[in-house]
Amino acid sequence: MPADENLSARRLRATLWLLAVIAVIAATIVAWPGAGWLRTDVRALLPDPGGGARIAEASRSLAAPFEQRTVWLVGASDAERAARAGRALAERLRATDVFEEVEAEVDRAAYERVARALYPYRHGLIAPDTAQRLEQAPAAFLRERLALQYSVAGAAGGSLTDDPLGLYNGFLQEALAGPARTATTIDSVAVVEGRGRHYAIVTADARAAGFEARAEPPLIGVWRDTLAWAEDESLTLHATGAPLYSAWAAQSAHGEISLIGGVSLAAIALLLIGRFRSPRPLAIAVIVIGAGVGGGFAGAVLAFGGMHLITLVFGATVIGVSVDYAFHYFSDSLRPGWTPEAGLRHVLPALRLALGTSAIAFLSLALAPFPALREVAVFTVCGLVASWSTVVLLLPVLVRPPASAPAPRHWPLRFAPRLVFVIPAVLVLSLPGILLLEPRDDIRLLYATPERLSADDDVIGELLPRPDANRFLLVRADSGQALLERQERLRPELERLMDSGALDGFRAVTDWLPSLERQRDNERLLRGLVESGRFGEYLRDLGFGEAGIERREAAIREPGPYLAPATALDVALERHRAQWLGCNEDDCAAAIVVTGAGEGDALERLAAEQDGVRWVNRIAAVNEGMREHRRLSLGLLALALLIVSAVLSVTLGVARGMRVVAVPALALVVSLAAVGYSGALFSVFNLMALLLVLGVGIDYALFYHCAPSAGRPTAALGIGMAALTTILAFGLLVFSDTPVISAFGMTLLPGLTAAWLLALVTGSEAWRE
Amino acid sequence: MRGAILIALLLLCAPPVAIGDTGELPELVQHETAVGRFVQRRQLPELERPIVSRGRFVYSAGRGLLWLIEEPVESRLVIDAEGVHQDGKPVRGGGAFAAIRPLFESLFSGDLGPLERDFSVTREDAGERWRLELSPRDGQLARALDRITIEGVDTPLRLVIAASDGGRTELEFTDVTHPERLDEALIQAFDRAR
Repeated sequence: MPADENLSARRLRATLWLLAVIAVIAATIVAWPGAGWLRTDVRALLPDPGGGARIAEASRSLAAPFEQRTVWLVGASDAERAARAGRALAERLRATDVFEEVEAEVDRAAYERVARALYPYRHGLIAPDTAQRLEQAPAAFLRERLALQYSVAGAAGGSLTDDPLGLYNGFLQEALAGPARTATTIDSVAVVEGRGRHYAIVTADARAAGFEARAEPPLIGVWRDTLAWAEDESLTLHATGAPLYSAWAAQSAHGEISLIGGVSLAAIALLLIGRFRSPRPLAIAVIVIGAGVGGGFAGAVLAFGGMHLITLVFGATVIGVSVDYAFHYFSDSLRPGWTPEAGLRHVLPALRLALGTSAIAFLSLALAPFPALREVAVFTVCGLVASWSTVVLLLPVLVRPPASAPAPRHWPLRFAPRLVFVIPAVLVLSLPGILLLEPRDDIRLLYATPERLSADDDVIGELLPRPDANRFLLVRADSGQALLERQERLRPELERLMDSGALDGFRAVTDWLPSLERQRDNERLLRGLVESGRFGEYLRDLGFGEAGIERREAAIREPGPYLAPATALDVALERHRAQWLGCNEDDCAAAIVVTGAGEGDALERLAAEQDGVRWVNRIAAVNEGMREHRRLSLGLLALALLIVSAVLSVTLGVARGMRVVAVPALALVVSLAAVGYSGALFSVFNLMALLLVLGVGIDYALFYHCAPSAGRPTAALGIGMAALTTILAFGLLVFSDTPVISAFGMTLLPGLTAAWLLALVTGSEAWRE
Repeated sequence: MRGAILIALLLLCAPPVAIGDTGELPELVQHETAVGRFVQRRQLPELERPIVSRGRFVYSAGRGLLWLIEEPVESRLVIDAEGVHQDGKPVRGGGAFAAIRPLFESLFSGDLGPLERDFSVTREDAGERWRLELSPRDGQLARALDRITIEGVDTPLRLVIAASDGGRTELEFTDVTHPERLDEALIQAFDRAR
């Protein structure tokens, strides 16, 4: 082939590469989702726990009011000090620019709005407990009301003329009760008592923040400063909320991306400059890495419209793998009489095989219905394809044989033990570790949280029980009214569970929107009081004139108006409205949120006995899914190993094939044992790492076994450099604060090291023969 | 020694800190206890005659305020740090309800601090007699309450709550004494009302 033709073919390929890069960048810019490209919410990682769209919708709806909310409890020895501290805290938080809205005061205006809007419907609106009392002991009830009117509490408590029996007031107290029933209001600040102190409640809605490349997100800075302030003022302070968790995750991920990426790059730079005595390969490696990370990033943006933080952290490790392809090409350029075409011919078969096995391994991961696994798989495969293409298309133009670098020497292990001895040794040493493996299929363990934050979350959960957006009762019926009636029939059952301690409390839509049937019942109760003359007697005792009594009695005798769902929803508080999911034709649904139900076994039993009621525990469902997928993936891994054995036995012969397969198989055993010994998290996410060990282990063994005799020294050099950088990059993950990432590193570091050493052992053995 | 100086400094600084920047808060004689009789007259525009009740009241700095209503019905009401309870049942309410706890706390302790948060307070003196005018600071409270007037000599003798809906509640206190210790029976009455 004439040199000119080669050159123009190379240039054509390079141009193709450039066009592809431009196309990918353009497509990514078009598909760019804006500030929301980085997801930090744990729920983005969760697979759909099943149960259909309605459950997912309910969970989203219940969580929406709390998405940006942080809750701060500031405690002092007495309620007044706590209230003052609450105001001071709110001032401090307002002075920062990270919050959109800071509330220390109870929003009485919102309550008054509801009170005014529902007033016309008051005759049908009676709190369930009161209605029961009114039905069973009307005389005693009226006696109590009368006594109250003679006390100063009655004098200050609402209008006697607008609500003579205080029934409407009682309904509103129940309907608008906050999550903490025990909260008192001091100087307009809600205060709860517990753990020997009084705590003011301050809520602050964080501004929606994109991922900022800062060492410390502003919210974390504010959090720290505020904790220090509380310490100085000798106040107790607890804070929690999704934005704090996200900010913390962003901060630790930022540090890890910098560290892992930085150290891998430094190691690669040292290796390349040291070996090739020229900065040129390093510059080329940077292009390959850039293409790898950029390609992965673009792939995730195009496929998912953004990515999760965990994907990005894993993505940083693509650096370690993507540069491997370049290493094989660089190493080959050290051969005497090297030309770009000959080099490509030399390494291309091995490169194809390497990309093929890795791509298959990672793409099989994408089959699992786990959003996080899918994203990582797509990110990695796209990154690998991009850097592979860069090596094949662009590098022939760029790489020149180095002038001064020493030629590689043939250095198989001279004292390598024979494989027949290595196998039992590895198995015996690994067995106890494998027996120690303890799967923990819990999605909550995946995230790193500082101790302070999770301890505070527990304290706040105890003082201010909050309903959980992931655990609730979903009630469905074929009409809105049937749904409300079903919820009302559930109430006594739930109250029974509260009495037995299986439940601390619950909030249902019917707290503020009784069914039509219930409203008519309530109206009947009032009419009974009127007909028996008790109502008139009560008013007369208080000094009402006959005209006033008659007017009120007539209003009660007149049926309606009744409160319709649309009217109630119009004025409902945000957190209440979130519980009503509305109707899709004849499928109406609403959630009953609960506190203190634990894992909800009692509620699950209750729901099983009822029509149209379902206990939803998304966390449990997700964990169950993780368990299933872990078992499934482990099975798939074994199957993959069998298939590879079969294929290699056919192509390389049984003896050689088995020797190649022994490398990844033993490496997997070492990985599992290391996880077991170290006590690292073992879940479906480790399986991802094991797939990488499998793919990379086969690569290393194949490169040794397939290298032609003339190419052995450069093959060994390429494998060595690839292995060192990959091990370094993944090994650093061990130090991650995020348990799942650290476990990933703990699986890869020993697995890849074992794969490399075992490949050396079998390679040397093969070459000696 | 340094600790003692610090405590002394804190003590010296304490009063201005407690009063805040208003600086002109009127002072009443402060008492640990107060026991007496009350008559409550409640008038509403629509009612033909006032709702009248009578009884005794007991204030103790540690325990709160107990109303023992004797006529026309027998009932016990206690207002303390835990809230308001009548005959063993918690009472919650709208309107000016939230303000009654600080109001009565200040009324008998003589410490107007808690009151100062919800109301702006002015004082008039006529010889021995003094008169406090309380106007709600907060818009929400102002919607339920127009004004509260307290008159007294040494201890309060009369309290008038003028509500925004035209209602008016008048409390008169008589036979007020400040015993060193409360009777055991009265202490038990606190617990029964809660």
